[in-house]
Amino acid sequence: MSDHRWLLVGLLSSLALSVQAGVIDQKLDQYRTQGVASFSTEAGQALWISDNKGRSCTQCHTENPASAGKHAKTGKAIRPMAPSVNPKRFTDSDKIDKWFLRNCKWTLKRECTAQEKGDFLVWIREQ
Amino acid sequence: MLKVSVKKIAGYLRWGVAGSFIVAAWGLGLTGVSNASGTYSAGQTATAEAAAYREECGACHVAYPSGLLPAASWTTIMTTLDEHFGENAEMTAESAAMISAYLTDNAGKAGRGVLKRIKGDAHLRITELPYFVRKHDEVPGRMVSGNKEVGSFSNCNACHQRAERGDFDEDSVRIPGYGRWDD
Amino acid sequence: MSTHDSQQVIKVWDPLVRVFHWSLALFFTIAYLTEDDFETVHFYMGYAISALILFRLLWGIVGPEYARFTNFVTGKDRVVRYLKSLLTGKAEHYVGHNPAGGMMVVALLLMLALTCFFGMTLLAMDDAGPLAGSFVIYLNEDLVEGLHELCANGTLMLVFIHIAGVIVSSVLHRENLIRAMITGVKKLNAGKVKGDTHV
Repeated sequence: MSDHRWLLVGLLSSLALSVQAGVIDQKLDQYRTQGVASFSTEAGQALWISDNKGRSCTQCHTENPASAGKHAKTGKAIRPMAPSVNPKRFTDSDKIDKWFLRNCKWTLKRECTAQEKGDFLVWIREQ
Repeated sequence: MLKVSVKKIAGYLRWGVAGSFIVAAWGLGLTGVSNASGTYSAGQTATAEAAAYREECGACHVAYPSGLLPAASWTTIMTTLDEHFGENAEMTAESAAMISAYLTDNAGKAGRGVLKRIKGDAHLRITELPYFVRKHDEVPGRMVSGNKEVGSFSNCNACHQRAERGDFDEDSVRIPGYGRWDD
Repeated sequence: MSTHDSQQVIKVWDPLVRVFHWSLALFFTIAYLTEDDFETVHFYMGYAISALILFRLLWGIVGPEYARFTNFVTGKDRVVRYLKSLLTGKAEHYVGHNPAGGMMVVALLLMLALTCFFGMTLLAMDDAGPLAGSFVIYLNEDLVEGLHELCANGTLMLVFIHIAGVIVSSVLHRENLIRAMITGVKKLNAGKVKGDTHV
């Protein structure tokens, strides 16, 4: 009986992970078609903590993506980014695009390149 | 032949004319009562457009009720999303169009309620509206900018628990760390 | 006089003046209470009160005897004399408005008219209402708002004095003035009518 239960849990988690992985994988494929050869989790993390003339992702999201964040200006609570803590993250392709658009343009004063986006995604999905 | 004296006619006339003033007064009074509405407007809140507004614009701050600014202000805001009070709030063109329509359709009317005395200026900051300033001029700084859980007056729902519904009544105000506002 | 003095029923307040009086009381109360929270109601109450004032001005000129201004608008001396008579216990009796009451009528109409005018001026400054576009919009807005509030509260104060006066007069003259303003009639003892200073 307990074996079956664990089997079920295992199946469901891998299903969840694969769904999530599904969307992220789709994005990675998309970036590959735009000419990106490989992705680096180190580069992704470096981007996360980088200081761009006083602007950084960590100002709102904090250094640890598993923590809850807070909008630096409005104080609005931001739920954790890490999928291990917040499974809903990175399951909607349009949302990923939208927030890359807004937040890269604010932080870097330009859109992120496909390379940067991919690096970030491969890093964040392991957090 | 009807012999109606001039005096009688004059008599009826004065009662008629005077009576019509009274009737007019009541007409005006009843018109006012039948058109009664609170001072604030949240716009319709149940539609898909309203939901889109809350989703796209409520991610970083409270979805400010559409009646708090005139249509011209909303248009300016929606066409300068890349420079949205120091942030970037861009979105897809379809979302932007839908939300713009919602906001301008349900915008406040200049001269009424929250938009009293703006004299046609298209204020972009709700917190700078004359009506807003007057209503908050007795709130000490330590409760707002000096309050870690509030930060600024633009953070309506930190204190106004029913802000998103357009209900800013003093009775539902609870300032974090200070409690209710007793005037 | 004998205890079987006949009672005379005198029609004092005509139907329109009575409707006017109570409508005004109602509209002013609503206007005062809806300020700032129920704007539309507040504005329209102001308009309604303005219409009532216009009525009263007209009626004061062409209305029945006791409604006319000539009946009760008297000089300051008469008012003082009347008030003094209240203190001596030999209160002068008037069928219509006594001189103090008459002064109150004038004061209330004036104060209400000012309140409405300043209110409409404020509306005009936001480009709304009947005075929009007229010269009033160049007045100082804060000043007008202050005057509007002052006159509104001034009216309220007059109302309190008015109510107190009605009660005092009712007691001293032994007649129910409130009921008279509802039914329109005053029941007067023949002796009273005969000894009236002014009818």
